[in-house]
Amino acid sequence: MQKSPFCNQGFIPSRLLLPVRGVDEKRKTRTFRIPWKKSLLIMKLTGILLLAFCLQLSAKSIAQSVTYSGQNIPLKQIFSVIENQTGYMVSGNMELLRVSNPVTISVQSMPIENFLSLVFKNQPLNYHLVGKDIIISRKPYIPPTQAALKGRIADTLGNALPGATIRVKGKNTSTISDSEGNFTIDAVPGDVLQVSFVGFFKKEVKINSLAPLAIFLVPQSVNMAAVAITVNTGYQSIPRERATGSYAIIGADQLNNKLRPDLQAALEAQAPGLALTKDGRIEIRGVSTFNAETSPLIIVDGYPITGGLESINIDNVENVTVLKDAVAASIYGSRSSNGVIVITTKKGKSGTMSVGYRGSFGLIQKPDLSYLNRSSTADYIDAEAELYSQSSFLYQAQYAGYSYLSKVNYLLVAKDLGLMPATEVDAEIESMKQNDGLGQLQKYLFRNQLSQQHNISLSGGSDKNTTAATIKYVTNRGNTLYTENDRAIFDLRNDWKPHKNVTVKLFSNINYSTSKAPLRTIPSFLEYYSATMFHPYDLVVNPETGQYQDIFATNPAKIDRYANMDGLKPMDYNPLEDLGNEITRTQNFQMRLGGSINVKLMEGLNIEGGGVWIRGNSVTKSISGKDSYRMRLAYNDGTSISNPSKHYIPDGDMVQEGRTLNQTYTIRGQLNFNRSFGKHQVMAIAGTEVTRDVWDNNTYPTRFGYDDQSGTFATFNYADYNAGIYNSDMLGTSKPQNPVNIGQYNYRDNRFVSWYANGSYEFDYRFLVSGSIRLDQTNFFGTNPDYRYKPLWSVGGTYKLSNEAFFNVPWITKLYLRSSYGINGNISLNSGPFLIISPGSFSNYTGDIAYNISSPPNNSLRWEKTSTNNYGIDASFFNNRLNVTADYYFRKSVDLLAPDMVDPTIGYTSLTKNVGQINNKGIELSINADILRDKEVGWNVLATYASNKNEVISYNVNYLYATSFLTSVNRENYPANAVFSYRNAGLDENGSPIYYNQKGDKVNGGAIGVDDLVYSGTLRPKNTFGLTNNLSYKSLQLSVMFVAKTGNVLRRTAFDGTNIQHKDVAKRWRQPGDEKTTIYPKLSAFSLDAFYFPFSDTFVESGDFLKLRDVTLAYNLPKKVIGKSFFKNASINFEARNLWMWTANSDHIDPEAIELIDPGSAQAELGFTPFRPMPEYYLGLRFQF
Amino acid sequence: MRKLIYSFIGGIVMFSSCEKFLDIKPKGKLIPGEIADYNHLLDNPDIVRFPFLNNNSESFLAYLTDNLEISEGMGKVYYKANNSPNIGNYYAYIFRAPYKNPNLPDYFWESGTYRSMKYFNNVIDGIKSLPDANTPEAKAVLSQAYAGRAWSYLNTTLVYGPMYHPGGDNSTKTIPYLTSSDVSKPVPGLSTQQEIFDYVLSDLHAALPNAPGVTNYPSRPNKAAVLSMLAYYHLFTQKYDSVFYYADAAWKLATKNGVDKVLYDYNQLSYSNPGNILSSAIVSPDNKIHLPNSREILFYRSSDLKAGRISASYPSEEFIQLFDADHDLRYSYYLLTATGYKTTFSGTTYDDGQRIQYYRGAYATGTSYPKFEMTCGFSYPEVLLMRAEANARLNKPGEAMADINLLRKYRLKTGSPDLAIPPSQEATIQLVLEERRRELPIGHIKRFLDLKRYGLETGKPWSKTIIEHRVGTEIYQGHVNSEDFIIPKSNNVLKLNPGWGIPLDERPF
Repeated sequence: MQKSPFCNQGFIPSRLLLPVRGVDEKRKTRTFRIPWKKSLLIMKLTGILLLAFCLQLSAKSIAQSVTYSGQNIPLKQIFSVIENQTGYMVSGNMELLRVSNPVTISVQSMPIENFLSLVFKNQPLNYHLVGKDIIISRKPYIPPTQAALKGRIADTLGNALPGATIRVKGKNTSTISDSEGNFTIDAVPGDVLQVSFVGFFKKEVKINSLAPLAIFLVPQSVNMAAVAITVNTGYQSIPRERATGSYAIIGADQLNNKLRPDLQAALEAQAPGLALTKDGRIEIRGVSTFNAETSPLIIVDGYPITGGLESINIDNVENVTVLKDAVAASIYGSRSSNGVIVITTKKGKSGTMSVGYRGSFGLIQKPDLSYLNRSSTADYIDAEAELYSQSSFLYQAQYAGYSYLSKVNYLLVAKDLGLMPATEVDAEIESMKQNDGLGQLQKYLFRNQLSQQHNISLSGGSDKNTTAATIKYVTNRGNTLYTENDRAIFDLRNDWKPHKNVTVKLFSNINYSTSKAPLRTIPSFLEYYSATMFHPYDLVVNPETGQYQDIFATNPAKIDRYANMDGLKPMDYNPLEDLGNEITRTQNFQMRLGGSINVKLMEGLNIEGGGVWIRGNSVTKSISGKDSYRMRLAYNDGTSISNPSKHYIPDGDMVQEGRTLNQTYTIRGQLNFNRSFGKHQVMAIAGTEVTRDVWDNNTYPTRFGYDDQSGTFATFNYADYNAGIYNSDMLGTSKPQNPVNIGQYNYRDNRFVSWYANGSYEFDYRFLVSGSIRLDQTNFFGTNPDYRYKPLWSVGGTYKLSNEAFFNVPWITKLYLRSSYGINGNISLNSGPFLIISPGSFSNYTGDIAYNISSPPNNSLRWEKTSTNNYGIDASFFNNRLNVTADYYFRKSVDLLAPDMVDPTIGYTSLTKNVGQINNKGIELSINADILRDKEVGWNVLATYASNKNEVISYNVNYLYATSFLTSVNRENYPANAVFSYRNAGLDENGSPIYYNQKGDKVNGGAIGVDDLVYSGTLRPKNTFGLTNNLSYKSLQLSVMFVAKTGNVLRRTAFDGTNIQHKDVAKRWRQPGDEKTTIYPKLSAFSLDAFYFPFSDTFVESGDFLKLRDVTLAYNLPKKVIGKSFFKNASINFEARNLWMWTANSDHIDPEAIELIDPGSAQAELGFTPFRPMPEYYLGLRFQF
Repeated sequence: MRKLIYSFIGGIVMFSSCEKFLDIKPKGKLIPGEIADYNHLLDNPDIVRFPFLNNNSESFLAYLTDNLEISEGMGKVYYKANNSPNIGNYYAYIFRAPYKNPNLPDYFWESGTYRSMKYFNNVIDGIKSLPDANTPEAKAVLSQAYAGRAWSYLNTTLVYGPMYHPGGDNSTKTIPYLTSSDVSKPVPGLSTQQEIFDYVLSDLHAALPNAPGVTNYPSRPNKAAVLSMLAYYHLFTQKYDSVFYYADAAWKLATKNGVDKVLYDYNQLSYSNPGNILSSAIVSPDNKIHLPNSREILFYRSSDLKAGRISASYPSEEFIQLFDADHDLRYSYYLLTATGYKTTFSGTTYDDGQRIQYYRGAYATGTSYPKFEMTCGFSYPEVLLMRAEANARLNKPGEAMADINLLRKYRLKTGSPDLAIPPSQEATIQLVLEERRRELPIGHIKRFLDLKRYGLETGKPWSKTIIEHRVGTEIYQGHVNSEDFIIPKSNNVLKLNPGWGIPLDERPF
């Protein structure tokens, strides 16, 4: 290699490596293999790099000028100098460089424009500057002809466009504009000229006379990135034009103005087919499994991550590619059934130094408790009194047995047993009816959620390497007392070129998050039943003083009994204060180190090795303070009768702790091939990959007598306490844990080895075919060789109709037809070919740890498979002002692991087998239209629509009885999450609900069988809409996003005869005759009616909704304001979410309301404590210098 | 460059030889490979929790017997109008078949017998497949699995089939005898009562030689438990000399360190909170009387703890009358007077007032522990009572009464007189069986099977062929030697086993 005084000699920007037109290689991710044992070294190295990088930032300040000297330097190298020194990027058809001449030059701080004209002086090439992009093109060959027509091609600002192609429509005549943009062509009036130039919209001009023409072309995008969109599959970057699959690409500009810190929310409505469920999970194209993983695979910078989307810094995302169909995703083999989301982080920009800050403050309104539909205090007390009168003996026995009683029940017992005068009881109950306990909780327990985020990004480097570093800090004050969480994300990325044929990349990501929340759950404050601790009349705050106060919580009989004993603790309960006495704290540290090395072996062929190593640990620690109500009660009740100085629960805090270590590595070796031979273009990769995923969790035994200051704790006899030996010697029965946790280990060591290859071939920019294949092996599946070597594969093709010579529709800029077929996989690692047993907890029935059979041997288990047919159209109209992508897909998911119903006589009611099948079909449509586009005003519309219809084809679960349908179910010939209902027939003369059976008879709920139920719809929305309007005027940008979902149903909660907390409790049946006027059953403490009535068809309603999800407003400070300050740009942003909603259901319930705790639970479908998404407001500031 | 290519090829080769990397047992999953692993499976609570119990741990079997009574309010409102999940208790009480919904899962079958069988069969097949299957340790574990299987099948065949007729016709097909852990094998056909009895006996004899002298917990059968099972088995074959042989051996083995090791002297019991006896726990010398490893429990299987108390039922008058209220401490501890069921429904008030209720299995308030743990397996007193019955039936009234009086020393107030030896064998048997009824739990399966057993002895004072129940003024009758006392198999099992030739139960529920 020729040495030169300049270190940048011999470095070729990676984007120049690919001899493909329109390729932008800068998003290409390459990785190299890290021997994980050397991770420490890498960490040190990273630190040194960061230091070096900072030093370089201060040493190098970049101007738009070039200093360079050299003799006979290839033009390629000159380009790399330009890129490194100015940040200007060269694009266009790089094949042209083959005909370029070497350059001899020596300049000092020459402006870029002058430098370029010098360099191109004797070249057979032209160049054109668009922003910071230098587009090269072939110099026009001007035939010696007496052309009739002259003209000039320029951009909208009047800059000449050399190298533009001018064609006479319908004739075999064409020419290319010269370096001044001028052209001459043999054309006559009446002809139509077609003018095209890379990066600009095509234009057609009708010739009316032979007068010289001035033709102005409109750039396709403000920055040239749009010219060369690449699809990043994680394994490779493919130009969009060369991809046959169904991809959706979400660029940084689409995420830019979103101030909510999580990526999930920002992705909503940006890509059709990617849906956000109401509990915040991402689903791609519906559901394709029963038991296996349902989330898409997340790939960051080429490798799967384990931390979830929340570990991604949204401000550091360059783009997100969603891989939807088989061709797109099947390269991920057995984990690709649910789609793949590939995230590319920002890479350092060479040469220029840049420091950016983005920050925002956010407020999410406190939950609206009126959504809970709770009964009024008076109605609640009335219902409690009626329940008391139904079985007063039970409450009296509870009083006598020192059990918990609600205040109303205690007062009624006191009245009946003569403990209090009746008039006093009545007066007190009457006055309690005025209490608004729920209102107090709304005011004092809940609060607005406040968040802050700060992001600092540094980018820069030299021609040898580029570095990007970002640090983000997010802090949240939760929406209830004592809750908060914080997260810091640190990213560092280095790209080196130590040799002209070698590229090295290193990236690292560190996530550290902490959270704090009360141990006592918030729903426990909102669940009102006779046996729960809270009731609507309980006032947690003294209305006069505003101070937290005690509520009635302990049976007075117990208080009296303990009052006569020495050494016991008070048993008063101050809920809001107590909440802070029991706190769970978590800390989670995750580190991801990765890298790759890419070596060019020959033209078009390179070899790449890389890997990623993730290591993390997390700690969860819950401390119940010794002064908490729970611990005081346990201390008292745990007092020994025979020796009152002994306490079976030692005095002090209780601590529960779990620690987890996780480690994952992936090592990959890959060959990349990419060549053009005339009209033939070939691209291929082949590689192999090894992954190991290890998880090691230790849940410690619960400790008592703990002191958080010193770390000391008391001894405790777990075995005897759990075995109940002390029970009859204990004063009372309340236990802080039952049984006390003796600790637990959980391990995982999943291993995968995979081989994969894919390739594409394109002929003449018209016909494109591609295919992929992958074979996965794991340590878990596969004693049966029949299933062991089943590869997953795909094929696809694109026909670029608009590139055909005969295609001559002026208003259609682009028309591509795509089709693909392939097979993806999904895995569940819970069953296997062996008998698997698992330890449970201590059982008093057997006096030891109970072991279960978690899975009987099953030799025939295999991957779940999803085959996808995809048909798509990509079209652009009116010079790319209207872009439409439409897809139709049909996904057949077979061999799904499902509980196969078996004869219970064999000891199991079902066995997991590959027996299920779900079909999904749908249409996806994405429309991007520039309705208005000029210098000052812009109006862009992005509309997405996705329909997804699924049907469970086989699911061999035998639903034995109607109560199997208390939750949505999977059932053959119905959509997934199908809802079935009892056909309500009103009440009988005793106030019990009755229902129609299939014969039309009115019968009670117990007599309703499976066949008597009716199908009411599915919980899964069939249609998802997104509409984003982006408006800009001068420096102001406004974006308004609507989302809608339709086609699903929801169940309204109902008073079911026992839930006295429901607002309709007063509408219940009370006496014969009421059945004519009400549908709500009689009141009873426990009745099977509660298992039927809420599932009546009466309470099923449409789940359709339309929401104004998001409004963002950005103001970019104009240049004249920033002036000569050191800021390059600055902007102020505002975002508001969930401001307005329309719903179809009668109660105007927000269909997106989710169950407060455990939103994924089965009962969540009914929403006993539904919290709806509340309005959110964010104010942000960003600047760069 | 060449080096790079070579290293890449090397890499491919390395990855290809990945067998070692993949060939590990999945971490965090226990794939049994040792005796100890299989041994753990015998600690699964499914083995002991649901024998002949529904998902609320209640059993309607005792509601067919003469031990329990349901009041009008309970029957009409608690069970019927409120559509109780335990309505099977009420239907059994009024002999309205089917007692349980034939289209719903049969808990006795699914959660009880056959779910526990899965563990026994996996242990037996698993251990037999090990190279060290012949070690004493392996044999001891196998013995416990055989005994567990035998106990379960013996009871199951008598619940789902007619009483065993010694020397008579036992060709009725009752239940499938499943012995394989392989889930891919089809469920076998039904065996006859005789076949099941033969299988049970062979399992018990397979268990006996290697049965461990002691086990960690009474959920696992020790040698005395296996001997007791053999004694119990022969109560049904009416080979009373065998009953005596095994019961005697069991009792002697159990009491080799003294009778005090296996019986509580009720004179030494007290209430933990004497001021509140209904909700109070019982204090026993070892503080274990409320636990499955109570010193009196030889072989533990969960029992119905709710029968005889409010919301479920009351003890029948006949049952209460069995006790000597003045002297018998069982009466003092088990039979407490408490507020009965009271409700107003559709304008009618039902008030049972104060009622004597069976508090033996009542939970001390707020705990999940009964005052006295009971078992439907075997208690040591039952071993003694089996020996007494064998003595009485073998016409050894002196020995029989000695056994009875030994037990009563631990049950009656100190100083209470012994029972005298009755004048006739029949009276002796009657006395022994009365003591048996007092001692065994009021609910669940024991009295049900005893009534079926005595049903063969028509004409004897302890034998009843008709059981009469009242609800308010209405009277219902059930016939012991009829289908009334045989539980039909559930439709979801019958549907999957058409080969059994049993038509589906289409009776309305």
